[in-house]
Amino acid sequence: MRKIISILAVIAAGALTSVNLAFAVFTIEIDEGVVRGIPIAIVPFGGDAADQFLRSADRIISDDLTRTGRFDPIGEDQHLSKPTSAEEIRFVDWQLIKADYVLIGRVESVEDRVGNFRIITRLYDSFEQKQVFGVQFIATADQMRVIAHRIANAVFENITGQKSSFESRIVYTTTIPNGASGAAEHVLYVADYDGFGPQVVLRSEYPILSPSWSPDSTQIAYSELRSSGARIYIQTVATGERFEIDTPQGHNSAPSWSPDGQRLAFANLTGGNSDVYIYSLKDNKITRVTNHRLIDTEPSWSPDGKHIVFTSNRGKDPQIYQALARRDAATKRVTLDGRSNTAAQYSPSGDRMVVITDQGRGSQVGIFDFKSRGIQVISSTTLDDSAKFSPHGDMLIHVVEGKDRYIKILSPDGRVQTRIPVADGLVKQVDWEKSPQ
Amino acid sequence: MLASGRLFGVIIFLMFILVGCSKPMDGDSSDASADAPDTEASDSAGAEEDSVLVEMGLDESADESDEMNPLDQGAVYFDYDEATVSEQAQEIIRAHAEVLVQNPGVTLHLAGHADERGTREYNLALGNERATSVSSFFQQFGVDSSRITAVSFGEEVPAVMGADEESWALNRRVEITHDLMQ
Amino acid sequence: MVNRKKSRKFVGRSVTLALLVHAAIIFVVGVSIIFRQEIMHETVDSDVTPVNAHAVDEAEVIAEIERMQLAEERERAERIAQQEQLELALKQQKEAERLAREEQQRLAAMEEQRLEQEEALRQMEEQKRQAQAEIEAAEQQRLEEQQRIAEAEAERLRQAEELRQIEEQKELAQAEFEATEQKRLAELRQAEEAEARRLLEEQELQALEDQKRQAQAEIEAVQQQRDEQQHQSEIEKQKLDEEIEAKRQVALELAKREQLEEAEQQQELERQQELERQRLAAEQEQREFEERAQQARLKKQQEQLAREELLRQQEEELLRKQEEERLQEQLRRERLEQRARSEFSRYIPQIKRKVEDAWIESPNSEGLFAVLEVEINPVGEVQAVTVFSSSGSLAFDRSGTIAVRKASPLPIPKDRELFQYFKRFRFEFSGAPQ
Repeated sequence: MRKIISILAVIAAGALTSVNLAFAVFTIEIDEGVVRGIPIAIVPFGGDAADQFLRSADRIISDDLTRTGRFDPIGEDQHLSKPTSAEEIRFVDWQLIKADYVLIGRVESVEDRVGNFRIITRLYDSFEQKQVFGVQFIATADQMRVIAHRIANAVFENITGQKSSFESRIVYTTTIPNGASGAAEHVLYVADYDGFGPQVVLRSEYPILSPSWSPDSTQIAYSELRSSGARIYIQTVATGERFEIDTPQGHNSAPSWSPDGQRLAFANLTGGNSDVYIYSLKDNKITRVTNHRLIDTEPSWSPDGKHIVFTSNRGKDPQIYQALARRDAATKRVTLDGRSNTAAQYSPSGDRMVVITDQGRGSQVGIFDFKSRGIQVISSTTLDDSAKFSPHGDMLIHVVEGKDRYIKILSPDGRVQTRIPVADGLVKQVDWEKSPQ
Repeated sequence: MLASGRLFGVIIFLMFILVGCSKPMDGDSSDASADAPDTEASDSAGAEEDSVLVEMGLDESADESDEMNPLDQGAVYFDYDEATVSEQAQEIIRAHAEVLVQNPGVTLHLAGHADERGTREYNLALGNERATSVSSFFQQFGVDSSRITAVSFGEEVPAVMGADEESWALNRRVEITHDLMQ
Repeated sequence: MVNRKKSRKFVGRSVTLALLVHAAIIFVVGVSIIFRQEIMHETVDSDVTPVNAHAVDEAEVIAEIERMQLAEERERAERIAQQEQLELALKQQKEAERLAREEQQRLAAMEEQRLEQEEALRQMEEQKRQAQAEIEAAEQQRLEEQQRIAEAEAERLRQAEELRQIEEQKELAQAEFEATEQKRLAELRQAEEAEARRLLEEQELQALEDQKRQAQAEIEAVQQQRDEQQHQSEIEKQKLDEEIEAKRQVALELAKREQLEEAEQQQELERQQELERQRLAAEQEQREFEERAQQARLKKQQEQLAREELLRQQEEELLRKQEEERLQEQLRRERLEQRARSEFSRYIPQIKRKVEDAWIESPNSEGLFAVLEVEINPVGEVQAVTVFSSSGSLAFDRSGTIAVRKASPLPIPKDRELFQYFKRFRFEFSGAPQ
């Protein structure tokens, strides 16, 4: 008993002393940062094989990072040193030019089964003066772009904590006014997200409309516009094989895959009417979702597969409406702002939608926020069409119509807008792969 | 402060009354003028088409004649994001319909188009709406629906390439084709 | 006074009446407008081509209107030429009538205005008086308010003083508590030592007792021996007697031996007695020795106690001094900390701005919260940044760390004495909504 008391006394005494000695640590609240790209220096890669491989790697990496709006690469002309290995790094050089991060790399020739180049790359935090990551690849020369995108992805993921879409593909349609036969030719291309490596998937005498990637990235659905009406096809990218789906009479267009890949929403036009339907790929059954005498078109699925948003002019101006993905669903209007809002697509996270909005300046890309219910215009052009989110929501893509037609990639806040090259002809519509390999 | 606020409210209300009173008085004249520009708008659209034709070096004689034969018009034009058929367009349709009624064996083909503004799928639906509107006027003027085919090409087949109001006006159209056209 | 009241009442009543009439008029007009608008809406709705209205080109409308206006103008000019003279005459007559009417109205209006002005003057007077009264009342109130504030301030000061006293008492009590606690602990220690000593003494006493017991046993053994010897001698005497009886014939010869034997016996007895005496003396000596030893031990104990007491007193003195020093040190530190706090808080906005300018916030950081601890040198240069509490997002934490690093050197107070208080402090980074 006496012991316990004495122990208690010791504890009490100890507690009192510690209270007397400690003082409250000063705290400063930081709640308003600046919105801009993170300054990063991407040093051209060194090593004995740098010239044969990855000559433009720093350029590819820099472009990837810039397009997201999250990074602001510092030009090579401002670099004070050109390190290519860990020993050559002098952090003060990078602190001086205010580069938060520095990426360096080397390319060496090796004898390996997998490839004859070894690429070693390291990212440094120049203010904490430590390495963020270091990776190495063994590759062949033709894998150059893939490796560069992969390095950019590693940088993006390590710094932002989010995944990038640098290794994804896009599909787009073009019209060549005077094709091989002299008549107009319509082409469906698949390319890297940045427009490189375009591959022809389909050449057609008929206009190709609304290409849509299947969720597993193996197939593309689209419609072909014939004088007898539009027809929906599903084509396997790898083989080029395609089949027409069994749709009702009239124009059938605007195919959109359900997230589980089992169903296809589309619009059917008969008489002056246009409604949204669902086609089941499992049993070829068709379900009518909307039934309105005016236009209902451009269906798009919510990420959970429960809802479909579509464009309707039932309220005079075309606006976005939402319905449950089932027969004769009740509909409710979603967008309220602007002269018109059309062609909605959910963001991968489902909390936003990208729309083509007319706020009085023409057709522009807008982001609708389900929480605030407001629309933020993010494009600077005014003849925009076919706007889509990247698979990870880190970028958006859209077509600019008018005299000079092209594809543009936007950062989600619209701060960065970059044009990407198009293979041939006048570009019309674009879609971004949903699950990159 | 409160009193002045109320006073201000009364003033606003009185102004509203004045505006409201003036509106119905103007009503008749505005109704009358609403019809007039419509025809003028269509005329100008026709004129634009002529000018385009001139540029293309096709037909200059059409420019000489004051009175145009409606049957020379192979298309009717629409306002932006509209499928409503104007009175002038109705006249053109009537002229074609009269010929068709006299020649029962001839079939009629209607193709709806839109300008490049707005999304492609919406424009496909809009072209369809336009073709259907024109079709219903043909039926009203005595052409049997079985003789009419109506399709839409959306914005896929523009009549004129160009990203300006003149080009767009010419692309918002329903093309009328049948064997009896000159 | 009464008159004025009445007249005001009258004015009030007539104003109410006028308002009612106006309201009625407005209502009627309003209703008729709404009605007209409804009709208009209907006509628009029934129109099959509502779009036409939208299709109108504004320039064209204006042109059309202008054209129509021109036609009207021409027509009107003709009419005017025909009717000009007639109208002129009519107009002149009407003008004369209108002038007369206006003059009358003007006079009436002037009269009315004059009356109104008088009324207004009266009202102003009244208002002035009221305002004066109000000002006085306000002044009074202000004075009272000041009084109240002064009292409240006094009260606040008194309470602050009390609080301070309570705080002091609390500190004193604390000090006392600690002192008594120390004392109590010392006492406890002493008691434990005393107990140990007592146990030791008990053991010693036990040992002495044992010795005594052993001596007693020895004495008893000697006694027993002596008893046995006595018994033996008795037997021997008996044997002698028997021998005397048996050898009666040699009694005479033996008489002498008998006497000798008796003498021997006497001698033995005396020896025995001498032994006993010796034993008793030894016992006495032993007792005396023990007494002396006991006395010496007691003395030693007393001396030891005195020494301990002295030591204890010295120790207590030392403790008291230390405690005093500690309290003084604490007070000094508290004052310094207070000064550091007020000095540092003047620099917070500058530090905040510098760090926020350097912080590139990621667009989806809403709801993230990280606490970073920074260590600086006396000129404000950042020496180390550690994540004290992570936001859960490595990227977010790192964006904060880099911002703090980039903001180096941080603007801090120049006073070196205070430096220890902010050589380490924290930043709370919270992600803003998009």
